Amino acid sequence: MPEGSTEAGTGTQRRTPQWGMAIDLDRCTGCEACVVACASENNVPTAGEDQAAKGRTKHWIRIDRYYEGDFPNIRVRHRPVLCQQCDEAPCEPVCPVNATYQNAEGLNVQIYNRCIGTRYCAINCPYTVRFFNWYPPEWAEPLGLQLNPDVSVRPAGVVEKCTFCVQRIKRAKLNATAEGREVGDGEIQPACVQSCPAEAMVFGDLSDPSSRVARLANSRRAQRLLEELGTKPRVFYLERAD
Amino acid sequence: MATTGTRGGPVGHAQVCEDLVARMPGSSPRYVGAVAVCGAIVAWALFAWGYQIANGFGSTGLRRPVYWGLYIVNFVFWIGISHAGTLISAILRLTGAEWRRPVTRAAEAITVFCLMIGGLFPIIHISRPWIFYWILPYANERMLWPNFRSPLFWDLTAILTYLTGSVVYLYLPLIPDFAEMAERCTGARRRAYRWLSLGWRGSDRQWQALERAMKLMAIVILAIAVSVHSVVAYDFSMSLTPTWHNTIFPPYFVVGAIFSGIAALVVVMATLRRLMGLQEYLREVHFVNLGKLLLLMSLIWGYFTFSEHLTTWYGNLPMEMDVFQAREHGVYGALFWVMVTCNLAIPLLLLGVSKLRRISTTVVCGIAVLIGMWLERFLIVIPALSTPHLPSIWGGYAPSWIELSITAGTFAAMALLYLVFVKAVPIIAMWEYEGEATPR
Amino acid sequence: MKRLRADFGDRHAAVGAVRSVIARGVPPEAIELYSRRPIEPYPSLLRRKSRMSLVAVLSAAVVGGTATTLVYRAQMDYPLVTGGMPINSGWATGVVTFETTMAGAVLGIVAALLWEGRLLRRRKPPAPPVPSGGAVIEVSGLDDTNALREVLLQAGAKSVARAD
Repeated sequence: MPEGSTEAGTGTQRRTPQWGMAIDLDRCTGCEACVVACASENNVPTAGEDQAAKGRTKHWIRIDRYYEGDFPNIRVRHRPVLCQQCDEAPCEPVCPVNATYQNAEGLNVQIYNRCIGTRYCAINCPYTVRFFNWYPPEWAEPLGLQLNPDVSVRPAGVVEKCTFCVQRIKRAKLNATAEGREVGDGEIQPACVQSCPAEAMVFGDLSDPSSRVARLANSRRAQRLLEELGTKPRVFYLERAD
Repeated sequence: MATTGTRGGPVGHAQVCEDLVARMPGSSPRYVGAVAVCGAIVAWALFAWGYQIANGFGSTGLRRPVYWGLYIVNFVFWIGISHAGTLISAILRLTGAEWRRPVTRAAEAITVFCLMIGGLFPIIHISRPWIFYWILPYANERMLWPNFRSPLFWDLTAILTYLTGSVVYLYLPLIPDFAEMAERCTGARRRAYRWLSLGWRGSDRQWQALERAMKLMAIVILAIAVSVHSVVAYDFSMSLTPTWHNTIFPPYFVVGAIFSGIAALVVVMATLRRLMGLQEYLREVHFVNLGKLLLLMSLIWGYFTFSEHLTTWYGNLPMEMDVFQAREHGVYGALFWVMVTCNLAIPLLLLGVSKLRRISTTVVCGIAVLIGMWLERFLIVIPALSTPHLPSIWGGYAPSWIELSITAGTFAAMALLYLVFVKAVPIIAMWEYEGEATPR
Repeated sequence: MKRLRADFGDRHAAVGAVRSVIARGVPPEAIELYSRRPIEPYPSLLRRKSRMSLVAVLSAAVVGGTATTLVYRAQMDYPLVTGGMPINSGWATGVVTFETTMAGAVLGIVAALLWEGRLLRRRKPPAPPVPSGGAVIEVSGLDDTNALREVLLQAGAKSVARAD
């Protein structure tokens, strides 16, 4: 994992946290509460019926549904897929203008202003979790009235994706700094984690071995999506081996 | 016409010049009409591009996961065709193939024009074209440099180098002809030609320097041309997309580029021959020779295609097989077999049987190969993107009127550039061509 | 110093004339042979020295080297956290190095051609009108024109005249 100094403005933060997530697939019910929470937290615009039919929907987190077995003995598997915040992200080196890079805390960050829209990152992401703004953002009424002031609205023509709710990470760090302490485990909850009724998702600092997410990531049930590609994702899926 | 050679063409420098200048199109209604038609199509394409910029990329047929569509197909196609010229002309120059003389300029012009068109596609393709220059390595106030690791940055360097090189390669042998044209014109045209001839006086120093420069340029341009299409292939093979991440792509692309380049050259030559009455210059021998080259490239292309598909099929990796299956069945499957017919079956039949090998069949093969190679690029780009790693997001792609208009517009732009070119300069290098008094 | 100009109707006669002129002790640098088509092959006596290949190679090395250094410095001085990828890698820079080296070669060839072909020069005597298919010889730096005039006429010149 990359080493780096603490970001400016975080003051007393001594150690650079390495953010990661664990998702327990055995708990996930596929209710899609995370999808809705994410869209409302991150000002993800709605596409509308026509555009959705053309495959232009944006869901920074989505639930992939896979069916196993033959009727009537079908088992449905749900897998929430969001940006895996890869350590060796295939999306990063291909961008000609460095609009996407990995920051010191291990997040793949997207600089919307810098993006010229080659969409190379989007096709090179094996998880296809990068989204392109086909049109200027629009919301079906009255969703436009509840935009989150902490999150920028992305213009047409740029690529965007899950940020692990970086605005919540920032806020938690500021609060901790103001109170002269470190960010506690479980203090930061991205919208998807917060809204999961089954509590299937855990977010935290992977570099702290005592954190819940680090313990889950080290569990024998943990595996990563398309791990064989060598992308070193930071999202761990927990699943009973059967 | 003063003297004629054994094959009916003019012989001797003065006669050749006179004849070629006389064949340059005037402002006949037919010429003006052709310019108007091509110009109208180009204007329509520009309107479509403006519409796309003004209304957002949603007006194209692109979607998730097919984020790259016809623009990239066309980009690869046009850059491929651009290998016509320079590469063929450079090989023929270096090997001293005398039959090349009436062919080279037509080929070199194809290169420059195709590069101008192909090089435009990345800019059309990006969704914020007004800041495309952010990819250039210039020292801006925030010291933000481009990402030198990106294959798209490599593209930029490769295409700029190739464009510079091929413009030089087209321009150098034009210099003596500009001087010659200045002698034969008056007024503004004379001044323009004189200015373009850079003070050419025809001294032996200049001739020797020019010939030396052309030899060196032929070597350099060969290296550049091979590298350019390799870099275009790197755009694909550097990515993790199944079937793209593949070491065969760079040579496969270079072979395909030369293949489609020869096809384009044959078609352009046949058109010039017909419209400008160049039957005495561009003769059957040229078409037959190029036809043999086309046949050779067809076989090499077939070998590469077979190798690529065989390794994918035998390796049987699930994600690659998804793409493979998509390419073999359904709509893509039909296109695949059209491609094989156009690129392999038709050239093998028409050019492989020596009795069938003549001007008309070569031109038919040229058109077939152009169609086949366009389909090849399409079948490389679209099916692989439609079936990415995770099956939950598979999706198809159909271009909208915008992409189709811009595609049509580039073919019209090619014709338009050529129309202007043949009006401005003799399409056969006057100083290189002496006429064929003695059959070789 | 005087200058002679001789018109030839036949290019090959002009080549013979060049040989005779050089045999009279005139240095090849003082001779210019004008024609509207290249005379192939040029007689070995008139082979001009050329540094074009050297200029091309040097220019290639300079441009390619400069570009590679710029890439290296830009990446090292403004480093990005790249995850697993190295900040600077010879493999990834290789394409840029190759292309800019080739661009340097092209520029070198063009510059050498402009210099050695004496193109784009502002001040120079007007080019002699060369008959199509023929050639013109200009000999400059002469003290005595009469002897050479005879040589040129004997070699087949249609006319010989002072040209200064």
